[in-house]
Amino acid sequence: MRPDADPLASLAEVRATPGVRKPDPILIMDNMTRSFGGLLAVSIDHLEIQRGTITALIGPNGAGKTTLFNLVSAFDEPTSGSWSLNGKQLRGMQSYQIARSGMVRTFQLTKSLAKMSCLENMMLAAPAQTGESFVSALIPARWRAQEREVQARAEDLLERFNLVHMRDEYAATLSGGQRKLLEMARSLMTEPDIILLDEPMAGVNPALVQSLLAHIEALRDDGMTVIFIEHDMDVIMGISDWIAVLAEGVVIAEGTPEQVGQNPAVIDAYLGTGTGID
Amino acid sequence: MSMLQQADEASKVRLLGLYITGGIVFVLILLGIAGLDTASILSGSIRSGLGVQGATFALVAIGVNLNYGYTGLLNFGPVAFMAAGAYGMGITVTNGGHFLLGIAVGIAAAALLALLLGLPTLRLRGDFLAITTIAAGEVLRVALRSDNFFSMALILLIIVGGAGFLTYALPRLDGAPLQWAAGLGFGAIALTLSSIIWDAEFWFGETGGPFGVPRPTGGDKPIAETFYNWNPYPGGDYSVADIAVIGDILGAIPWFGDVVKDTSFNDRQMWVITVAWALVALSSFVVWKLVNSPWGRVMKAIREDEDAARAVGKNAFSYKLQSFIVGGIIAALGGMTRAMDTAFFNPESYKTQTTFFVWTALILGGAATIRGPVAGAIVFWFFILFIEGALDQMVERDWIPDSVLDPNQVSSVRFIVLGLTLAALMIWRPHGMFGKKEEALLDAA
Repeated sequence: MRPDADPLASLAEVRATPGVRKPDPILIMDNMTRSFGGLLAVSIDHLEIQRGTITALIGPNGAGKTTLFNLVSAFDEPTSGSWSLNGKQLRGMQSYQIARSGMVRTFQLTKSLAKMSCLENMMLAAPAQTGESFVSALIPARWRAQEREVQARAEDLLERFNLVHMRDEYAATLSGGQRKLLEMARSLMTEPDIILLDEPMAGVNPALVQSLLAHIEALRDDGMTVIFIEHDMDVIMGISDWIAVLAEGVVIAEGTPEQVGQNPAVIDAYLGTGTGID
Repeated sequence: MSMLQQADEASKVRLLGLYITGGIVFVLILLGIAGLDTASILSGSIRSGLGVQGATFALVAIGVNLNYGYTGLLNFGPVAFMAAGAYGMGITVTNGGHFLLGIAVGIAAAALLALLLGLPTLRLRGDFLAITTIAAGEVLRVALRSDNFFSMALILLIIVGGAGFLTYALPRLDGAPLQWAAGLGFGAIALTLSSIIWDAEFWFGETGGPFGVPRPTGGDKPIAETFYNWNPYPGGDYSVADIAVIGDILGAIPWFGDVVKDTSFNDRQMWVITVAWALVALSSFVVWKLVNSPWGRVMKAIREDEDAARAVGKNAFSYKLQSFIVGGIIAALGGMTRAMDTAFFNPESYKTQTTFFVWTALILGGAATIRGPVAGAIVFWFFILFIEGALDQMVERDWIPDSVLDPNQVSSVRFIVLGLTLAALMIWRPHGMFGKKEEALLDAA
């Protein structure tokens, strides 16, 4: 899956302009718009996400970041536009089909399956389980071996996310931060190529943030592509390889953290123009 | 959940059982001292709880439990599935089809109903689904009252199917004018088709309208004939008192002996009960197998959060439909078994009241457990008949003057008591007899 060239090095060659082409894009969005009545929440001409990198999606509140996540994961339908993953068109696909084709997402308001144990939360997400068909479900011999493999993998991931001690507890008994971890770990059970994290650090205590960041970097080093929405500037500058800035639904800037940090358009979007003319 | 908590919960369930049994004994003693025939009250209650009513309601409750307890679908239309099963079977048999074919048709009818009802409505969430299913049950009952049922059914099919098509297709068409055109065009076609069908008076089979199956006008083959031909029980009454030695010993005990002797079923009832409890055991086993498989895990995930299930690649809609079909078929088995007992049914057998009884039984026993619906149905019917038996005798002996309660009103009062019981249950034990208390608490959080 990994390209020959180092994805990070090849990004350095890319010009920091909105909608710029990248050497090895995994996710490509074209002319995507979403309007709610008269409000144009998202309007993206062209946006590419480089494979094997961590891309941060930032912007002021109401910029359309979560709406964009909803669109590409088909939890919402775009008013117009198309997008593709690994060259495969995704428009018209259902959200579960998109998850199966390798793009998985988490939610800003964590969705833990409250009355299921952490282990069950994890095992649910494993792809292509034989025992999920009605007939096979009644014949345990068909899925027992697979179930053991899935469980082993789930326990490995729980271990990596420091949740193994909560294995048999109801997910509802976890703290807010632990639920974020569980949801992220659960998404990884689907063996995705690309993972969309919606504010993974919100409500997580600073000590845990460091370990979460390490996890995300480890994912990238394993060859996975990560897009995340975040408001904490330290986190964004520290971890991202590339940043896309959204304001009022439009990509106003793209670039490496340094380039974006110096971009006057970004500063305007966050702080306002300060002239009062607007 | 730790072992300790499990042991704790088990002892609480035992304690609850002790309270209930103790309460019944206490009330019986009071009534006995007062001079009522307590043996007949108790045996009547047991006959109902363990008899046809308990068994058939247990079956239906198992179906609803799969929908609600394990998939989170508020199915308030189990009675529609009972009707689909009974009518599917009844119409096949009265028209000369074999009994086994009738069962197959009944099951197929329930599956078809699940599809028809599910395709447009399972996109709805929570309480909206409850409203739609309760309405669907009523629509079906009223449609069955028309003796031109199949024309009605075709029209219903077009409307329901059309509603499904419109909810699915319209949002996907670009542009409002196109949507309007599609909607109006579809409406015109539906109206035309409906009027053609109505005029042609398609009569594929007969429901007997308000008179039911088989029709009282005669000519129909009795629906339960084959069923009772297979009855292995020779004619006569059956009770534990008939068993050698044990029966004699139990029968000799004063008072308790009367209860044992009174708790008897005739050969026909014995056959229905045997089949019904066998089906209860089979359905419970199948549901138990299902919910403890990866299939069941997806179901529970959908119950907890549909979007989370979708986000990890599970086709929530397909699973909800599967739950509806399987649950509906189990409910249809209950409907068919009940039809065997009465050997006759009409649309009034499928009022919403039955739906609420089933739900009460399920909540009483504890949803999302295997034992819950079965125990709930038994206890539910035990109490209904207990209250009715005691009140009947009190009214009969004029302890309660007719101005307060006349004999015809007794059967209504038992539902008042039942409603109060359900309210109390919701306050003090929302997880029912066997439900997990922690889960009920998590829900509240």
